[in-house]
Amino acid sequence: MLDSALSLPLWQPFLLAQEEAATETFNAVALVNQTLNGIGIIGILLLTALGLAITFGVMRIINLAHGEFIMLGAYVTFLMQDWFGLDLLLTIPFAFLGTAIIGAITELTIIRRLYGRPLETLLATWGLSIVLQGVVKLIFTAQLKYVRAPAYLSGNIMLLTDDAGSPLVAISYYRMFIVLIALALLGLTMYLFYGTPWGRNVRAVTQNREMAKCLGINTQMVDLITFAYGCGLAGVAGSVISALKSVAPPMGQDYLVDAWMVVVTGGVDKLIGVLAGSVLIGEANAIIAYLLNDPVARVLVLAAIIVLIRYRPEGLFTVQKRA
Amino acid sequence: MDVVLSVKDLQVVFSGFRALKGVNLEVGDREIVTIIGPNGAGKSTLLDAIVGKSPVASGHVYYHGRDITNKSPYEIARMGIGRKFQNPNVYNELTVFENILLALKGAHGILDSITDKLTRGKKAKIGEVLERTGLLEKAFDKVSSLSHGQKQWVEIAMVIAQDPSVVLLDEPTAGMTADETYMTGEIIKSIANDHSLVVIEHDMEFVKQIAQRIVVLHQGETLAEGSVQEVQTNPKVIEVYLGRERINVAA
Amino acid sequence: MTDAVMGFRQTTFPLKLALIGGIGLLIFVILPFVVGDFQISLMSKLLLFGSLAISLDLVWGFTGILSFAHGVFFTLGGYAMAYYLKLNLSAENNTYGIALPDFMVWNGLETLPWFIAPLQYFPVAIAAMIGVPALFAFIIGSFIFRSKVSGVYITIITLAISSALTTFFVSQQAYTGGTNGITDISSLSFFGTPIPLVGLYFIILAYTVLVLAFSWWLTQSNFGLILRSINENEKRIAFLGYDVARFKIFIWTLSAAMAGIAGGLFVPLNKFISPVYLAVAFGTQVVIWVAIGGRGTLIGPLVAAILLGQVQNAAEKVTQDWQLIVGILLLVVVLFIPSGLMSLLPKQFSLSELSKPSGALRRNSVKNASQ
Repeated sequence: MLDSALSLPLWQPFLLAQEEAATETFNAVALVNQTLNGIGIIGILLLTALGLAITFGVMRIINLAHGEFIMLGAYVTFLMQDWFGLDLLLTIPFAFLGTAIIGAITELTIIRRLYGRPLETLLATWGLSIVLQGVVKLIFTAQLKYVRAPAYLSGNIMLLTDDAGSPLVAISYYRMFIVLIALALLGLTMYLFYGTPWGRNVRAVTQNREMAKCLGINTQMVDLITFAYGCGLAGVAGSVISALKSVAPPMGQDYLVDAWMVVVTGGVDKLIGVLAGSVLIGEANAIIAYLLNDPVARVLVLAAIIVLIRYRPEGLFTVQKRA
Repeated sequence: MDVVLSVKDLQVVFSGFRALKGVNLEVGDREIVTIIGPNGAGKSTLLDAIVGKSPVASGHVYYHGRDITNKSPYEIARMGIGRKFQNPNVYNELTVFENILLALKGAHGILDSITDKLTRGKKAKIGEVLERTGLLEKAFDKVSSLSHGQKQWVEIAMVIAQDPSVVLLDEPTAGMTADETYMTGEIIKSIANDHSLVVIEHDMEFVKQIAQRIVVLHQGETLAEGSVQEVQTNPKVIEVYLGRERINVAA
Repeated sequence: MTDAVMGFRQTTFPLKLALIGGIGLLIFVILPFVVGDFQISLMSKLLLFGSLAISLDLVWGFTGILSFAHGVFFTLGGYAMAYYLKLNLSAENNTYGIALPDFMVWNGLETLPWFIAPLQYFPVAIAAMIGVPALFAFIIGSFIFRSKVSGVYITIITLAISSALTTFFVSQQAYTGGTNGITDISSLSFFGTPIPLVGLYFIILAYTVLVLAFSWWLTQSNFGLILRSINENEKRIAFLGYDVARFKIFIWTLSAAMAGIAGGLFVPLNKFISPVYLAVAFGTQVVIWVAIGGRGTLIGPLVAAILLGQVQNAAEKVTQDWQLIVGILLLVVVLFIPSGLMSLLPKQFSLSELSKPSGALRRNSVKNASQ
């Protein structure tokens, strides 16, 4: 748990052309490449932060076990591949369901009891994260596991090649896939929340719980399903990400802080904020990393976020509240 | 009479909603100004703007001639303006004694708070305030154990202990019995001997007990001003209150 | 009638607390003569973690600022001490022939960086151990506390700080030793003679007692009252004329300095420091100690740190999955003992009760006085 906290950003191994941009000269091609890399980062950020946008953004529940739900999704995918040899895409629904169920149990046993007590929720979910990691380690051992990406998603989209045929501007299919899935899930979630009666109920409960009860809404069921949905989304993220690197109990920790930064930057009131947050942070990271290097990029982006929170704690996309 | 506090063309806006549309008010030395008006008229907002709680969109607040508009609350408090809030805004987890100790006029810096001794003088002052507000018996009880009316008293005691030259009271008798209300009125009159007061109230009997000059606010603007008699017979005021209890009915 | 009020004394010598404290201290003084070296080392470490937890209790338990960054302050102090120890022995110890710490040599540095070189002098190292965390805290505090940011967003900022600093230290391998940190650190010496483990233990014990006593004294005064008020309702006290931001910045900076010293003392004991102690996981550990021990109790966080440390140590021997046990314990405490372990003690033993002067005012005496 402590070791993983030290690893550098996970997208590092997957930055194409990093090795190729050995020269220090300002290179338009390299810049475009880095922008594309940024899109890859944005995809991951959006995907991993979406679940948090639900549990914290919408429900205002501080879930420090969010990273572990991502991890659980990855393990479900691993399991499905290991036992049934399923194609990764087919494992996604299982990852969603599995994680959603565990999320539901969490809501029933822990979150529900601590409603309205954010500090206790924070501590309890941290305890939960330790427990989840411990249980997974018990069952699967701490050994790294590997998930295979589907063959049809391997390789890169070549946008520009040089005379010898080597890629100059390219992006991997898999990372495009991540971006597409993230956007699709965002679209689905927004539709569910803004376009369905159920979404209306959720918004009613989060805006005015007592009133919602008076209107006959089963607030407990709404809480349960919404939280489970958020966890399910985290599971999908874990499932998709599992193919990028290895699968291990502490893997979720790396995504936790970044997901929080995305949700807080984008603003908690509107779901679209999570897209804004992802784009800003992802692209900023990529461009600064191109100009300087990865660790400095991360530090600078975090510093910028701190400044943003200080001046605009409600994030970028929020409704102005009455003083 | 010296003008201690004056408010000129004050406008306060909340996300497009104009809570105060240009209010003018002057409070003289040792004067009691009572502000009445229907709910939502902007009475509390006016006090909020004076103490720095709500940002002022335009206009000015002057204290002893100094422009204090939009200064931070602690600076304004140190200058000598004290506020009692509408709902008892006291420290439930502390004792009555501790609440008053916090409010006690004096240096409020860090070093002072670490090195300050609880002198006989301070204790005497606290005891005096406790006696004046009838809270002596409850001195070492946690405020959370007190009744609503008693909590109001604690806050009044805090304001007295703060000893500001201008005292702003927001519905000090809300939730009090007739006897308690009367006692509050007497305290206010005695405070007015060497302080200036602005009192927001709804209870007309109480207003009559303490009133010198009344200001009627309505929808963020001054509707009328004058003595109790003048205000009660003002046709604009009567119209605004029509349909509600008429303002010359005994409480 | 006001006799009761006039007789009230705010800070007096708390006899009960002193007695209990004395007994506790006695146990710790006797300890090293009864147990082996491993336990002495472990207890020293836990005492320092306890001091760190107490420093967090001051800003969180009393003032209501939840910080995940206290590991950062601890570690900054630790690195200061680590540089000092490493620089002073590197000339003799290393086999590379130049007066540079090993990790710098491995990373290709040829000369000692100018900002690290002064740390070879003890006074500078001590000043850095206290000053660097304090200055860092002061800058951040001034930035954050003078804004409208409150509650969970301040906590998120501390998360970001912890994460950012971890990345930074790991990346500056040549200067900080990277992921591995600074290893192979020698013992602290007193004018040439290395201080034995027992000696270090007593220094640490003395520091912990100092932290505890100082924190108690600070929080018993008017200052403590103001902190508690800020915790309950910071806006209200502003209207009484208190500059809340200043108070927060002050206690935050003080707390960081205390954490830094604990970190500095940690290094000669632990013989290494690394970005592990900067990371969110360790910062959360400190929060857990205070949460489990009981916010605002001062002694609770100390007890929790020691208890959890011992439990962890015992569990480590039995099973590989001791982390799971700690997680379950945390869950249980949060769900069923929300005020922390100290609340399990009978009321007479709570800090507030023990802190009252003997013969403290009771309602009877008030009634008697008014008759």
